[in-house]
Amino acid sequence: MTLRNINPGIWFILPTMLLLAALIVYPMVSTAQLSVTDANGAFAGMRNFNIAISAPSTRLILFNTAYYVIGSVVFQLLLGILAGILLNQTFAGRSLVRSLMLIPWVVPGIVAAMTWAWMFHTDYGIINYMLMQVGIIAEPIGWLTNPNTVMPALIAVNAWKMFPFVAVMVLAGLQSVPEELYEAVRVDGASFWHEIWHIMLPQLRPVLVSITLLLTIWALDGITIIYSITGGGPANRSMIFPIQIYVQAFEYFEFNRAAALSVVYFLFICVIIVLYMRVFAAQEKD
Amino acid sequence: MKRMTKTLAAGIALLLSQESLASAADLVWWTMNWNEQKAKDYAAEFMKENPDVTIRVEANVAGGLQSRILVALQSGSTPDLIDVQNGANIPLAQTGKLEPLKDKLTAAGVDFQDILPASLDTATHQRQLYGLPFQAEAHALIYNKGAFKEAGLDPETPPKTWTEFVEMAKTLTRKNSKGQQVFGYGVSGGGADQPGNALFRSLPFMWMNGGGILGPDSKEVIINSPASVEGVKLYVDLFTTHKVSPPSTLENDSNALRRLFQVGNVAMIPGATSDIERIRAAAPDIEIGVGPLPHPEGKETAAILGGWNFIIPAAAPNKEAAIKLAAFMAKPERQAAYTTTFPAAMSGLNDKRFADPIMDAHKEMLKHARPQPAIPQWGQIGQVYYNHLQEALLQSGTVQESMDAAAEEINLLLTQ
Repeated sequence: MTLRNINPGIWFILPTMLLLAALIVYPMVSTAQLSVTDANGAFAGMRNFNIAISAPSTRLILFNTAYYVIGSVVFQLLLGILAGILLNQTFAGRSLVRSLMLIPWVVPGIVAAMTWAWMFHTDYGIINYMLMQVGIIAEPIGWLTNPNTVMPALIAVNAWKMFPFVAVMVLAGLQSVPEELYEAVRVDGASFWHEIWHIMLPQLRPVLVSITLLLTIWALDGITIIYSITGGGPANRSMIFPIQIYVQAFEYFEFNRAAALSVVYFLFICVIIVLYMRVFAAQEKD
Repeated sequence: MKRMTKTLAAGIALLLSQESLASAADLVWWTMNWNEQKAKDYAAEFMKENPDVTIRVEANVAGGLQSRILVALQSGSTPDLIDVQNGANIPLAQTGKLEPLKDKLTAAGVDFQDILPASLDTATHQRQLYGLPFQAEAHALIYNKGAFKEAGLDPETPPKTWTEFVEMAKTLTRKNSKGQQVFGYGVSGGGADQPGNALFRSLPFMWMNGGGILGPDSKEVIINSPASVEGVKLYVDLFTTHKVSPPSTLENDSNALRRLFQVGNVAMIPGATSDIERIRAAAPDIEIGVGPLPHPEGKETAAILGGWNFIIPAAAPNKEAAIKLAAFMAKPERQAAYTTTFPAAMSGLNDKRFADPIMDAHKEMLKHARPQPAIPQWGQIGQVYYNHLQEALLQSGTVQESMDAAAEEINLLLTQ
């Protein structure tokens, strides 16, 4: 086989493939290699994995990660679908509301996180202040320091941050639904609720399937909000996997253990993705 | 946010150090941002005395400093002289990439007899000296005299023993004449600058009581011994049982506590002399009193020795000139001007800058200050301790249970 015989398509994708190899394959291989060696580069077998997995906090961190991802995605979808449907209706000032709704999504993550951290502050936060003024609570609540409220508070911030994205996608999806469908069900006497349940949601299915995947991936690898609001505290109550990896690598300089954790987390994500594909791909075929 | 920029900063450090390699003729001095002007002035003076040397001063920020230095050391293209927190000196020396300094600095005229012995300990690894201390400090108890007067306490007698301390903190916790809620003491149990802030405030309580996190040889874990638990319990109880620390305790690092002190919300906080300067600048109306950290009845007070050292990387391109510059900066009168708290050279304390009687308690505390254990796992041990301290502050278990769990994890770390 000479160069001439090679499919010309190969030449076109080669630069991209090389770039991807350098930026994705190399770091992955290097991480896998780090995870089975010690700080001096000698082979260490499963030692790093044993240490990483046997740490007492690992179970809590895994639980927190699942809690955070599921909670975030559910509320992002709920809020986003509601907002999308609402903004698809005709009312005065609709364009203004549509633009304003985008603000949380446009604000840089770190700015949003710091603002929320202040709003949640036990002594000076506006949230406690308002709740106490109205008389809903008598004592300030430590939103970010109480183990029972810290994860819900962080999920609320993440849901607030990303729901506009869902709303925009839902809105776009709804605008492509043919008017005839609505007319047809209205002739049969369908209520607005019926329209949502039997027309809008089924028509949105392909959109929702894709954004659920995107939201899940973003929730799995997003560290900005939690890292800058609580840093994983108090006492690991809001620690999630990606932050733990970062801390191991860049605060303790335990690069090998961080690599082992990364490999474990990679497998964890693989399982989720496979399950997701099974469920949704199977439904697609139906 | 500070920590978020760490990786970025490490990258920049790499670039900077590359740059320093490019023009190897320049001696590169990494100082801290708050000392940049002073460093430049001293560099100018040094260059006048040594016309063959050109110094370039580059300013660092404290967040992520240790990792930045580590990246530079690992890359092999390093600055020549670095200012570093004394707690990071030995961990950096353990990389084997720092220059041993004792003989060369002695030859260059540094009087090691004058330097605080505990400060020298922070730079000594395997009987070699890998740093030159220039700043030393220890916490003392800073209090608001106005709040003392209002609560009917004598503003000139701060608490000396733990019993007095708890009693006074309770008395100070009240609504003041302006209707503002005042808390007696600020426990640091959260925020950005952790685990350091919580460690500096609670470990001395263990030490004073004959306990600690690790035994004297740093091999044995004693954090769940009765003496240690009693010390931690004092710290935790201030928040949980006595309720003399504000509800935001689990969000407060030292900066947050100082701000609460400045607005009259907290009446006593531990801090260094630099905290006094900052409080004076931000809230000149507050009349500040300072006393030694309160100790258990019949025992001596204690504090963690903080401070800064100069280090010189073994791969520094201008090592000889850097040693000369370090010796130049070691002069007590220069240390006295360069430090933000106290100089590590004891004769430097005679400088008129330290004559203000408000600093007496801090000078006293310096005599009781001890360095932190110098083992590679210390950073992680601090984090483990901090997590379990938070458990105790959250009351998810007793202090004893929390410290038992901490001991188990620390033992595991020491065997790994």
